[in-house]
This record gives sequence, C-alpha cells and structure tokens, in this order.
Amino acid sequence: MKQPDDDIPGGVSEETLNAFVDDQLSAGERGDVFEAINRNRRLTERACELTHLRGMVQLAYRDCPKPKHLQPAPRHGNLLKGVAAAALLALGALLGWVVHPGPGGPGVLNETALASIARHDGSFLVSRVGAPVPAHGVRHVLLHLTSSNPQQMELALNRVQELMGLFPRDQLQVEVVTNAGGVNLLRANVSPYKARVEELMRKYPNLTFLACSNTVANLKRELGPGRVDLIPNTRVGPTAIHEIITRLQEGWIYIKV
Amino acid sequence: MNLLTLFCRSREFRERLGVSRERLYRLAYAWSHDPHLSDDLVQEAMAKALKNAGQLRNPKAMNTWLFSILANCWRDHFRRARPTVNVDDIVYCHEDTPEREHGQHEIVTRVRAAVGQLPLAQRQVLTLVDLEGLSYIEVAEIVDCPIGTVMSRLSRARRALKQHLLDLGPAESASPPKLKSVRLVR
Repeated sequence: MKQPDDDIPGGVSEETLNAFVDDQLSAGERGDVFEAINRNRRLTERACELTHLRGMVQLAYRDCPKPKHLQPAPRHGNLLKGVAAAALLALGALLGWVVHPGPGGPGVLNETALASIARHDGSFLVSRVGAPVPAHGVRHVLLHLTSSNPQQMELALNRVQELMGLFPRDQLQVEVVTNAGGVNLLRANVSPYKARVEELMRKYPNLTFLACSNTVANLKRELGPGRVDLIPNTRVGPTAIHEIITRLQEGWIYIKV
Repeated sequence: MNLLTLFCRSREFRERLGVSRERLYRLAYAWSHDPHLSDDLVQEAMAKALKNAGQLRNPKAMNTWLFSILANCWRDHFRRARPTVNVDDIVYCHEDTPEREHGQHEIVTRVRAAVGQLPLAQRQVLTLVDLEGLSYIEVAEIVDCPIGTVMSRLSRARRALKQHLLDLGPAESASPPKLKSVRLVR
C-alpha cells in the first residue's frame, strides 16, 4: 500500500483510495481500507466523491456524437408514414377548403337543391370544388356512401330520388359512389334494396352506381371470387377516393351521407 | 486444426470486432472529443486488428488487445501531427462548440469539458478505467507504462475532475446567508 498523502485522512493514500473504489485491491488491503473508512468520516466522503466522479464520466460518454455516416439511417417505414401523413393532410386541407362556404350568387346551385338535400341533422355533408355550377346546363352530383347501415342506405336512395325530382334528366347527372360497408348496397345477394336500386337504374339513365375497386377486391379475397356478385350495370371503378377527387376537380358537387 | 476451425475462428473474430466498434469509438471520442478523428482512429485500429488477427493469442483478451491498438493509433496520430511535442505533456483543450455554449450547465457538457482539460495521458487512463472498467494491470499494458504510473495518473486525473466538477458545485459554493443583525428574543 502506498504512503498516505497529507490531504487524505485516515492513513490511506489517494492512489489506494482510488484502487479501493475501482476494486483493484487484494482482500487484505480492502479490509484495511474498510477499517480506515469506519474510523474516519472524511475518508468515506472522499470515497463517495470518487465513485460519484466515475459515474459522471460514464454518463458523459454514454452517447457520443457521431459523424453522419455512422448515424443510423432513418427507417423506410418512417418515410412511408411521413408520405401517408402528408397525403392525409393534403386531403384534409382539400376537403376543408371545399367545405368552406363560397360566395353564393343568383346563378349558383346551392340555395335550393343542396339545401333540400343537406339535412339539419347532419346526416349529409355537402361540398363542392371548382367553378360555380350554373343554374342552366348539366348539374353533376356525387353521393358518397360508406355505411352498411340499411337506414343510411335508404336515406341515400331517398335523397337520390328527391334530387332526380328537382331537375330534368338532361340537366342532372348523379353518381352514387360506395366503399367499405356502403358497397353492400350494390351486392346482389346482400343488398336490402336490390330491387329499388335496379328500379332507379332503369328509371334514371342519368344515375350511375359505382363500387370501390379496393373494397370489392378485399371482399373477393375474404369471401372468394364467386361470392361477390354486384347488381347488374353497377360500375366497379377506381378506388372511391380517386373517383371523388377526380369528380371534385371536374366541378362535381360532393354529398357525403 | 482443420480449415473449418480456422474459418469459424476467423468469422467469430470478425463478429467480435464488429461488436467492439461502438466501444472503440466511445473511447476514441473520450480521448479526442472529435467525432471525425475518432472515426478515423477506430477505422485504423480495426484495419490493423484485421491485418494482425494472427497475433491475438488469447481470444478472451481481445478487448485489451484492441484498446492497445487504438492507443497506438492515437499515439501515432500525435506523432504525425506534432512530432516534437511529448504526448504526455499535451493538454488537449476542448474547443468551443455550439453544444458547449448552449449547454454549459448540463452535466454532460461540464464533465466532457473537464475531461478535455486533462493531459492526454491522464485522460487515457481515466477513460480506460471508468468507461471500459479495465483493471490497472490491463491499462498499464495498453498504455505501456508501469502500474504505479497508472495509479498516479488516475489519481491526478480524478483530483483535477473533482476541482472542476465537485468543488465548484452549488452545494459547496453556496455559503449560508449572512444575517445583518440578530435580535435576541427572550
């Protein structure tokens, strides 16, 4: 054991105390230091300080800054999530903008027809983008149904019929876009309103029903290809969101059930 | 020893070398406080280790062997950079960085700055003991000096750190408030 320093109490040298803290002493030497520590409170404090310093050094170099090429690359999944979030944000901004009430005027289709369709109970949401729809000429209206609830389906069909009564056939084009549960309205063996849909199709040539291709593909995958029959003359278009955005850009009126 | 055994040992060596990279980098950073220099040192040390893999007699002592190579690379770096200055006498000052300026009160910055003030030889011993938990004998082998020198360098390093970090701490520096007048209430 080294000779004690003047500033270290208890007859223990600074080097020995360091070796004690670092567990570098033999059993006999450790015993001597323990005895000295028991006798001298100041020595205990010094040992604690050394342990504390060692902990601080370990903490200081736990995470060292690294050059760029050593830093972990961002995961691909995060990039995809970012893109998806940006797309959702853009869609939200688009829909928020179209929901915002625009300036109305005498030649714009938003006082009578849409007011009669958009119910006060909030069951319908009416949106429009693009140029104002003229009072004369063809009006284009898109109804969007996503629910498999029969009441919602009936409500949608009622509104289609109401809409058809408001304008002459040559001045109105209506498209009912369904996805998710809403596709059930157009499934021949599932739809509770198959006959009514067929009747509407027959009666109004300016009315089309469209099923989301994604939903149909999912159903075929789940149930088998032969078990997803749609009502004849139903259009299986692109995805519902693609159809809605395209129609909105073309100036169609969007009505969400 | 057949070829398969040789191949397996070589593969195990490479895997262990890859695992040790983080530890080597941390040590190199603690010595240099420079990410790019640390990366260069680690690359150089690993290249030397791969080249001289046959010199490693005892696979259990691989870390000590790697640290020795890193210490040699570190020495070589200073020989190349400052050929006329004794490595042990260099006081490597921490450069001012935005991180340091904005985080002076953070303990990590303070400790790194204090370690950065230590002479290189003391810093090497301190980090090998504190960060890698090596025994004094192993450290003596790595830095190629007697064990007594290791102990004295470590002791001096910790004394300096104590002065920088503990003696200036708020608990010790804050003196009790002085009373201007005291009225005795009976």
